[in-house]
This record gives sequence, C-alpha cells and structure tokens, in this order.
Amino acid sequence: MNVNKEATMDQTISMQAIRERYPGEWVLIAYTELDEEMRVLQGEVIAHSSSRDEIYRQLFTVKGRQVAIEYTGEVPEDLAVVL
Amino acid sequence: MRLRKPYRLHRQGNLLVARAAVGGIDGSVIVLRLLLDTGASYTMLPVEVVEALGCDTHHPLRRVRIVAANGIIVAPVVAVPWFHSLGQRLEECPVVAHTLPTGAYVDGLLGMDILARFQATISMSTGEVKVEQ
Repeated sequence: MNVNKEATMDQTISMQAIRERYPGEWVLIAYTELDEEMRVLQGEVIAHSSSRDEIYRQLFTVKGRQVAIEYTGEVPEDLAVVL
Repeated sequence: MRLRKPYRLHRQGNLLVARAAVGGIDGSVIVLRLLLDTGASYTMLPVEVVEALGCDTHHPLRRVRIVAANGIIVAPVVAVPWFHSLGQRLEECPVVAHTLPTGAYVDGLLGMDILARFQATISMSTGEVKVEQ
C-alpha cells in the first residue's frame, strides 16, 4: 500500500471537496475549521491512502499540528462488528 | 439537578460513533472517530496515535488483559495529556493503546470508563448521548 503525500500543502479546501477528490480513501487533514461535533469543515490534505495504517504512520510527521483522520468512503452495509 | 446536554452521534449501521480529540503537550491535536462501546471496559486509541502524542507505550502506567474476539491480548495503558469528547475534556486521561483491525472503520473505542465518568445516557432511537455538564 502506498501513501500519497499531498504536494499542495497550503491549499485549504472543504471537506466536501476532499471527499470528491479522494473518494474511498483514508485522509490525514490539517484542519482549519471544525463544527461543534468535531467534523472537519475545511482543511489541508497532508496525505491520502487506501491504507489506514499508512495514514496512521504519517501521524509521526505532523507533530505539533492539529489534524483529523477521515475515511471518505462508505462503510460496507454487510459489515458486522463484534469486538 | 445537573444539566444533561445531548450530543448527536453518527450512525454506522446499528452502531453509534462519536468524535474525539486527543492532544499532546507539544500542541498536537488528533481528531478521530470512536465507537461507543458499552461492552468495552476501557477507552481504546490506536498505538500510533498515542505514540505520536508522545506517550511511551513501552513504559505504560500498567498493562491490561483484554478479552477480544480473537483471544486475550495484553495492551499498555497510557495517559494521554488530554482527551475531549461529548463536550467534556479530561486531563491526563488513561487509555488503552491498541490498534483495531482496519475493517472496523473506526479508530478506537469509547468505553465504559469514560461513559460512566460522564454519566452518559445513550438513546438508540435518537442516536444521541446525554452527558452531565
């Protein structure tokens, strides 16, 4: 699995635009605005990948920043979770 | 009587997911998604998250045995500098450091330790949780 670091680090875009640009991926976002329920409204995409674990590894490169981990795809309807 | 404020949760099938933020002493903040899990004794965050916040998982506060779907695992308990969810902020909050399988589509668990501390009341019909302020 590859992680793609975003070249346009200074580009703040909306969460809707992030979903459209990186569908079905895990995304690490340096957010600039959250709503009251802590959903990202806009931010800069730092990295995106089909692998969640790759995005987790990127957390070590963003120390001191405010970031959010988001998945832009739909959760499979037949997924059952038993933890 | 204390005010009980409702917070809307995200539905994922028949599961309820809350957002949380955890922070480090260097100003780092990580926002993630936690499954409300009344079957979990402890709140659980990914190992990578707590380590990125500066927590030492090799020298934890203690270790706990967790009965999981695939057997018993031993996981470290570390104190994250602060934890915020459902409108409440906890300082030096103990959490279990364990990374869930990727297919769960959540980053961790909001367990009974914090839900009980918040005196949380969960409504499955409205998808809300009420906590004491």
